[in-house]
Amino acid sequence: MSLLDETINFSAASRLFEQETKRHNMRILAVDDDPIFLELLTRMLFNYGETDVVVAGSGAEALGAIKSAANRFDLFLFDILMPEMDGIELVRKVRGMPGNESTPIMMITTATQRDYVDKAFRVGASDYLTKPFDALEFHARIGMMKRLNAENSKRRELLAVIGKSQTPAPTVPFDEPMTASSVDGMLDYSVLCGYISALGRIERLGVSVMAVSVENMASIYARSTQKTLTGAVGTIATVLRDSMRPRLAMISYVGNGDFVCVIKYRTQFDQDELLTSINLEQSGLRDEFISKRLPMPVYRLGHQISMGIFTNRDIAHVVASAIASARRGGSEQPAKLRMSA
Amino acid sequence: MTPKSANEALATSADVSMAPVRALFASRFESEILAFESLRQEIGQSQSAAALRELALRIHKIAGVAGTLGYTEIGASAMRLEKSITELAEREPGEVLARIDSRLDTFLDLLEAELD
Repeated sequence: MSLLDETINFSAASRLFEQETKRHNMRILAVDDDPIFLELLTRMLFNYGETDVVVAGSGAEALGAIKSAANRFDLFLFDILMPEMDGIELVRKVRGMPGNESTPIMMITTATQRDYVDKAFRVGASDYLTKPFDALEFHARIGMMKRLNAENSKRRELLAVIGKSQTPAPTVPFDEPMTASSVDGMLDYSVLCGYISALGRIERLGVSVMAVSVENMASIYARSTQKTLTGAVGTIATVLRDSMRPRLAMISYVGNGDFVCVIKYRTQFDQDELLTSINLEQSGLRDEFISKRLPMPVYRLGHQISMGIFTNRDIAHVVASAIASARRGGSEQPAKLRMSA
Repeated sequence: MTPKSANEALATSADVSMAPVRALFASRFESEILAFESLRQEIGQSQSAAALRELALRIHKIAGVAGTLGYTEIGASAMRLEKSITELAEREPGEVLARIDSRLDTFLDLLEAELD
């Protein structure tokens, strides 16, 4: 192939992706202690039109860049294995910095670092990319982070508007997902779906999905401001997480009162025991709900649905089945499986 | 010539823009081989856990970059080595080295084959 052909090809590729994406650039911070990898990453991002990339060679340098940045970053790309401060510690520190609670964080990892990825998700990472990069997967994942970032921006704008408004109704619609970033193990729903979709067949064998439906969420929603709603969702997620420990891998709020839990080890919960645990966990929080004039949540548990090694169903279908099972819980399960305040 | 698919377009644009990075990466091979041999010697002689960590980190870095830059065999070999070291994490450095030694040789041979 001649140099001219290569140039034409490169231009055509650039045009194709410009047309595909039609988007504003993200401001990206990429962190890795290997300068060659940073160069590679920067060029790959540039190929997809992401030209506003800042690089840092260590966790400490990254924290400095975030603190001194005039404009917030839209996306963080962190290597996991770095000397001194590793990528997991860096996620933890960034999540504690005001303004970065929900900024998408993509971990960069190799296939042998699965345990590290799970730890990173637990402290607030949004997604991960496995090296070596596949061009299409890289493009798709960056696109997903772009959408997540756009949603976050929209929410921030809405929150800013509602902050000035006299009507303190929640800004997130009742039927939409939301998250409480301060809750360890709670993830944005799209991130949870991405995580499960990316699991290998063998890894899928080790997890199941269970939904928990809050029967009276509409009532909680109707009496909430956005702040109290976020607090209530976070509190419910904490109650569910602590009741399922150590088997709960992650939890998300899908909207409509439905929480989705990813459970490890293929172990089946005894639903009576689980509801008792939830009841006990929640009993200590009665004052918190009363002080906010919110009703105590009433739960319905669904069945655990295994992903299965040969499951070709997409994650949306699995989640939908899990939620349907939870919502049927009231009629399907004996009365004793319901829990009320 | 027009790209037939998004994947081809991506691959082509990557080839063009990655050429300088690929050259830079390859220019490291000689010093990497020397560093690996030195670390291998240190682990063998003094059972140094720090030297083993350094060796693992260097392999990790190569494993992450090589495949993306088109050095598929080197990348795959580095990943196999990284996996073995991870699985042997609880063992003494000398024992880890003994178990990965032949794989390390293969890996170093692949790097050497790319030298001019």
